[in-house]
Amino acid sequence: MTRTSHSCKPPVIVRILCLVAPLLFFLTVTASANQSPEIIKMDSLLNKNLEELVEVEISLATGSPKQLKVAPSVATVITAEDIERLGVTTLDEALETVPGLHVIPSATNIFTSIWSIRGIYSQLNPQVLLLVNGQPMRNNTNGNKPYGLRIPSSIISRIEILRGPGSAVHGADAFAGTINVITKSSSDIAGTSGGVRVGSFDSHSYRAEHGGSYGEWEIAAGVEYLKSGGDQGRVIERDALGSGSPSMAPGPLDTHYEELTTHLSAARNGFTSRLFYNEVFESGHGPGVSQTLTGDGTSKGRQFLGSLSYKSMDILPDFNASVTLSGSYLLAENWFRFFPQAYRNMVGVPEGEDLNGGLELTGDYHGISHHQLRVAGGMNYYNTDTSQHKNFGPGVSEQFGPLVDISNTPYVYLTEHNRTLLFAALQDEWNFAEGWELTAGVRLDDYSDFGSAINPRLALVWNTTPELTTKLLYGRAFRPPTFGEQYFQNNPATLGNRNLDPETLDSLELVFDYRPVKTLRLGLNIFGYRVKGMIDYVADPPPATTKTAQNARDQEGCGGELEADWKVLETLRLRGNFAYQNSVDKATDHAVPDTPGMKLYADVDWAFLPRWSTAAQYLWIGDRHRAAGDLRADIGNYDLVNLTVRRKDIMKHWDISFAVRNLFDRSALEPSDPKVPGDYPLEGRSFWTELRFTF
Amino acid sequence: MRTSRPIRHIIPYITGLVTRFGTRSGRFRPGDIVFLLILFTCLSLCYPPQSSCSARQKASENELKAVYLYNFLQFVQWPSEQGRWSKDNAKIIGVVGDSPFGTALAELQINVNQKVTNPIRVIYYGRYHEDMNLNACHLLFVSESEKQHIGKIMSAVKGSPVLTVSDVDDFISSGGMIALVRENGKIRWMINRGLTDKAGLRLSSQLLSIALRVVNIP
Repeated sequence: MTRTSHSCKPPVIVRILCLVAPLLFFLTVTASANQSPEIIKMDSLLNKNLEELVEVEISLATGSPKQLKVAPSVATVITAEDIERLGVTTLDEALETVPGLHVIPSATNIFTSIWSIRGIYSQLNPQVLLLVNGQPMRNNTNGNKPYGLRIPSSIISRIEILRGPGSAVHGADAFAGTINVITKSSSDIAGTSGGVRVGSFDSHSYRAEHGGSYGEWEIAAGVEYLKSGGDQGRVIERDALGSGSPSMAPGPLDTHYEELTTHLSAARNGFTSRLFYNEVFESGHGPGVSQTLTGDGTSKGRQFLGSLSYKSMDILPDFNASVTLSGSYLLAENWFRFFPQAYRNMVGVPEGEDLNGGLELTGDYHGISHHQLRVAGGMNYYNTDTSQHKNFGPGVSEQFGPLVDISNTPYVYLTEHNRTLLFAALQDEWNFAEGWELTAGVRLDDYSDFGSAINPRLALVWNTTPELTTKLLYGRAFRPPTFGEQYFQNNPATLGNRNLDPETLDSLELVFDYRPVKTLRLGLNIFGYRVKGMIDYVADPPPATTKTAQNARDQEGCGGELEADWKVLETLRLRGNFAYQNSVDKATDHAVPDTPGMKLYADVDWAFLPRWSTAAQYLWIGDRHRAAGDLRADIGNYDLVNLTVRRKDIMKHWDISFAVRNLFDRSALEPSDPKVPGDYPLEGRSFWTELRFTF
Repeated sequence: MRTSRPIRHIIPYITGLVTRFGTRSGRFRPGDIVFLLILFTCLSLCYPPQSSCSARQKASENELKAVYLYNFLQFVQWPSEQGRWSKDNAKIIGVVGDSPFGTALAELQINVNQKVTNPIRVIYYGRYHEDMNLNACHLLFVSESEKQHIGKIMSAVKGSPVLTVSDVDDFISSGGMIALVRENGKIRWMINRGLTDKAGLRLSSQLLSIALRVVNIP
């Protein structure tokens, strides 16, 4: 049985962007390098007279975003500095520090991470919108993030995490939360640096980055390669085939991976162009697609995002406008081996290829006293094409024999589909009395295939006292059915339904932000939400063995999050958060399974000697229940401790770090599919060391 | 079983890349982007940024604004009130609210105090509350975080020789003296001369003539 290489068609927009853009940048750089703007320091600024000072331009990258405490949402920002001090290596590790967010390896979605926020999630996890530099990165077929995606932390300037609905701003899928990964700009890098990290489980990573000004261009580029053999100690005793032959259990979960991520940005006079590329060469399927260890199930993927935006200040009096043109290309190829080859040679290789494009116009008007108006509009086009090889089921003459190409036949799992979205949004920030601000926004999304949705939000922010800010937030979000949920066919397990309505969520939050002294911040968020028409695959009446997508159930939940951040000394900082949520599946009146009802996170960062610092993280996960009908005892709690020690300037330009993860080698379990009765173990104790240079 | 990875076979890969893009029937592989990006990164590494003698100059917004505050101290004359100010003739910058300057004001202090005999000092007031003595400074910078309290802050310093400066929107119409505004990527200022006169502050003609706008609202 041999497999052909990817047979993707050449998407014109991607070809042009990829080939032309970098070369063009380089040519422009070369041509204009002798006009490089000088970045002037404080002492030279002080030597200038007023006439000279008014000619100095400001480097735009230093503009300060809206302060979190007055932002009309519940947001967490993780900066490159946080990432460095905690020794975080991937996006998933950074997200685990966020209150109310827990990263779970998906039982049925081939071990791709689920980001469960406040108890709202599903195995495919399309309820969280992942943005890279504001541009969505999701798979059109299932609405989820790419399989096996690991964004390396070295390319990240900051991560903005919004808990709660964000559809009034971001549109579809900003449902349980929105995660925006901002890649580094030239001022974040300012020079050249590189690093090598090696660690347990045969894992290693190499990275390089460069940023600087060339002529009028601000350029930033970075690349990181990640590889790991996976922890062979994550052994499951039984799988869906039981224990012992023909099952490969007891045996380790397949968690190996190999990925490459790269980004490039170029900015000049209001123009910004960004390219992002991630390739998943391999990502193991954990317990296997059918909960049987097979040894060789793997996912591959390629995700390319590109955007070009132009921002103009004051094109009319008090009016700023920006326009963004974006395109993305995502390819997912899963090599599904359903059972050990010796037991049954059953293989399916579905491929999905997405090509999306979009145009967005935004305008900000601040000409009316006490009002900040924002208006946005645009369109998006989404296309998915598929191909499939398999050796079983309809369309295959010799069952479990050689792979047969069933692409472009009626037997394929999903045919080509596309949809167009038109949207318009309006928002006003109204400072209606001293100390009070009301943000009201609404967005209309009109899809070509299933109709439209209107999503409002209201945020009332009250500076109660100089130390205390109080916010009351209401928001609505929606998630349209994905191509898979609408059109899956011929699948042994799941079928689409053309009559689905979007899922909707309404949420109400009360937020307190208290800063009694400059060095201490305390936060309390209380929330309640209701999800209507949650889409799930529901078993069809017997004798059928399939499941069909339905607006199956409603879900309700409430909870709270307590946060603290205390800079005890110039050299010592403590942070922590505790989150509680109680979410109920209204169809069964049973607690939403698998996601933690309680989570505690804390970290301490201490610069104990000049050039030396250490950070410790503590994580406790508790109160996880089984699904209705799953008779296993509830999932055990666990806690983990991570430790990182850093030494700067071991030699000029060279830094070194050491880290221990799961310091006490705790047995930590994440919930498994019932076919694997014993739950999935997380990684045991592991180590890594990193050497880094900066010039 | 698995497709070969281009990154491991660099020579045939480059040949393939050229061939694929050179023929009409060529197939595109998104992995090519990786190669092109790496190539681009390498090229840019070989071409280090230059610090030329061009006329265009850029500075960090924080630092530039901090230097403006220092300049305002130089171009404004305060009424002489014996005993009101410290003996070393220090000029005092007050910041009310969360300082947007980062380390820029500290740097400014170090730079200035090394060179001149009249030092500057900075008071960080923190978030506004009614008990603050905002009159203890020459120049009061109002941060974005105190946007909601501008009215109260302006009343608190009304009639005192305190030069109020801010970069919040509508600062002049909210009763401020000097508003820092961004124009075409540069920093300029607007002045309400009515208020500065009332407070007994004498502004140099240079400060007034280069200002983007001078209004006279009493």
